Amino acid sequence: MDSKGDFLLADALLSSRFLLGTAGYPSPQVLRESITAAGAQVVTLGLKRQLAAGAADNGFIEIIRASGVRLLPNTAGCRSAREAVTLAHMARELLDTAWIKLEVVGDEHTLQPDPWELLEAASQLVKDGFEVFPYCTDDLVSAQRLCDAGCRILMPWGAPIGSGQGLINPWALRTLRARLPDITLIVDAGIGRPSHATQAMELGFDAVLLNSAVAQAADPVSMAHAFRLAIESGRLGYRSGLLAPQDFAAATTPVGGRPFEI
Amino acid sequence: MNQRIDGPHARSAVTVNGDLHQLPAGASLAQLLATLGHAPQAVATAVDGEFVARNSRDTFVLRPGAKITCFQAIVGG
Repeated sequence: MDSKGDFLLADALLSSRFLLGTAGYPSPQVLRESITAAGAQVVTLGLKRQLAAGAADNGFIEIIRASGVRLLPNTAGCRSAREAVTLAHMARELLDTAWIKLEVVGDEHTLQPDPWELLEAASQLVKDGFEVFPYCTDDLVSAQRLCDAGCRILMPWGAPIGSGQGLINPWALRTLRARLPDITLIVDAGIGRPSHATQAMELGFDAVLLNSAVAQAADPVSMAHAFRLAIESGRLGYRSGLLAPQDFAAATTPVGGRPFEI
Repeated sequence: MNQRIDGPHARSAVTVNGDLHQLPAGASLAQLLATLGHAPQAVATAVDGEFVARNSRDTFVLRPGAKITCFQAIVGG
């Protein structure tokens, strides 16, 4: 059994289930090496108001474009559907992709997505021909509404962005997987350790998207590799059939009772 | 409020990413970007919060008081 398998993301056939964010790396070179170590075939980008013509970004965007990976721009910073729709159109023109990671923040403390604005924006963008990757909570009914609006991919949070808490509500994520078997599910946000990513994959999620846990590691390149292995391991474990937990012991060595009692 | 001056030297004030700019009356969005030194492919644009596609900039005339935003790609999560 192949630990990677073939992963159909929208209309792209990929081998990697690791989507990597590009923010916060110490240098463009470390970012480039991290993308390679991760084996990532999709990376996320943002958009920002330009302050001056030719304003330098120290070469990060050139590095990302040169890496040959697919680009998944986001609508980070948007607080309304209108803002997000406008920014998505800008991203499509700038980066020549119809993929959009749709973010609409509803709470400043947790950066929790606003489910109403998110749904409104997703509905419009699907009509406008986008492949919408909504960053959403783990709420089942909100997720179903996004699917009703035409989203084929959902990206529920594991925990608030950048918190590194891991999967704070595995039950909700497990429920999403069970209730939305035909939707591509990607855990996005909150992943802090490779074991968190493994857990997400063992729940049957299709992929993991993370940024801070790699970018802020003491050694981002090694951490990218660690997450790659963790994601592949979790996927292989899921496909292989995980042992169901139970409340009683079950002897593994087939001794047939006590060794000296006949 | 900006005072309108009619005639060949009429100017109109707009903001670009929050900064005030004076333009010849009737200037297009494409003309503004050229004035600012932006290559057409380098930025995406919105006027008053609405996306204006690259191929529409030539014919998009900026009204006095228009709020233009120019965006570029950056790193992101």
